[in-house]
Amino acid sequence: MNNPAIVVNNLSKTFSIPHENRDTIRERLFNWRRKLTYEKFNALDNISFEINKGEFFGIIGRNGSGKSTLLKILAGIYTPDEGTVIVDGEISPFLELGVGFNPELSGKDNIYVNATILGLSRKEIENKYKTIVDFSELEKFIDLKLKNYSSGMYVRLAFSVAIHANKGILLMDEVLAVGDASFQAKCLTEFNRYKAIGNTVVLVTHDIATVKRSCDRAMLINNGKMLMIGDAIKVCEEYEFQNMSEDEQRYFLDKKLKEIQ
Amino acid sequence: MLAKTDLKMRYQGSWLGAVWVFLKPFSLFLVMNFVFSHLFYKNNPTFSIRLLVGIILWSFFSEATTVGLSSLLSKSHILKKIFIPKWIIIISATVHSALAFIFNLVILFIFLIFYYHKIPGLLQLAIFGVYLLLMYGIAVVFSFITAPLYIKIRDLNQVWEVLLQVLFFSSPIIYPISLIPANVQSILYLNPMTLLIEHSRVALIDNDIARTDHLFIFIGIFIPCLLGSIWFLNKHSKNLIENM
Repeated sequence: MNNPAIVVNNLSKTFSIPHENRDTIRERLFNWRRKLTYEKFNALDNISFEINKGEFFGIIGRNGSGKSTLLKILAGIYTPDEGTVIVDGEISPFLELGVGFNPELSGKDNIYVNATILGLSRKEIENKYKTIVDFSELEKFIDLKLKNYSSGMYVRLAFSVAIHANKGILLMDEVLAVGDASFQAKCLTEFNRYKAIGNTVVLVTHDIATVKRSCDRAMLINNGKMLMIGDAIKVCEEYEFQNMSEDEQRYFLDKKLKEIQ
Repeated sequence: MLAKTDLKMRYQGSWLGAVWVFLKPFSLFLVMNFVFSHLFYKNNPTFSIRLLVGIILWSFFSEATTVGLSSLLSKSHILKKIFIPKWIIIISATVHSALAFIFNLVILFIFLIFYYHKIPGLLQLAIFGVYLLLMYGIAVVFSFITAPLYIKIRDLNQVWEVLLQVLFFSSPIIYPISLIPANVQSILYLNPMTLLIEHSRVALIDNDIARTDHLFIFIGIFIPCLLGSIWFLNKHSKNLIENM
């Protein structure tokens, strides 16, 4: 139980942002002598952490803090500039729901397409098809074209494919934001069941409440640096504190001081 | 599987559906056939079938390369969200053209057998198969190299469109190679499609085997190209997605 599922060592990732785009041959020919100027942007700066097996791990942080970049590196979509990522077990290579969904196809076809992209064989899909449909509660609409689905139906279908197609380690980027309360609850139950059989869930989100309620541990990153890692509730409190205005922070500190006295 | 979805999507909502797979090369064939067999080659009884072989092979090549070229970019929405080896995307795009080509091939054989009463021997069929594999291989090599480049150079598709036109007329599709003076012929043979199309005709229509030394030289050049293109794709797939 205690050996780590993911070990990240000194991970850094820098994006170079060009000041102009040079996408066509003409642009390249006319400007070949002028050097392209870049601005370096440190998306991730020397991050190291471990995620244990069977853990529900949350990653929180402001917009542009590098959460999604980190997740993309874990999934293998980006290659890191420096540092290593060691993954023990199979990682599901996707971050978002409904990758490859096609609005012109029926729900049923989309299950097949999506699950294939997520790495299931045809036979596995056929075996799991019934449970996927049941979980999404969309039996009635399964032959309807996806473009006629409501956004909630869309997410339900996508989520149930994702959760049934996953492997040992599940990466999720902002997935619980949509869907009504009961479906969210269902997802969280599913995460917990998933956790109970020794699998790992890594969740990137802004939803502090979910992290507080469900995550075992969490990590806070800001500007590509890791600020804090540890118990989910403590990390969330720190994040909330950071997001307060100065007045609120003062008030909050006063209140804490009084409590201590 | 990806190729299957592509195929399904492509003809979704068009009432002629998959018939388009046939219609595209055949309409080209009908026009060309009308123009050339009536104007220029009245006394050549096998001109039409030679033209048909040429056009079907050519349309496969041009389709596969065009689709392969843009395969990575057109799937960028998926590639940004999920890790899939790049070659799978490229191959699945070209497989889709290969499927369409197989349909066309069936029709070609129906023509060949029932209209021209020509049944190629087994050896000829086998060597024709080798030509087809090579043609597919060239399309794959091309796509492996251009698909990652296309992400950085967005007008590559226009360049290729023009080049395809040039190649079309410099391949012996609408004219037999024998029409060309011998010293120019050797230049035309630099175009790989020339050799493949011309030799396929020899195998299918003349029921003969063209010079095998050509074929061996061809394979000898092809294999390093293939390895090179795999190396190229590997090298470039590292930082590809950030640039999409």
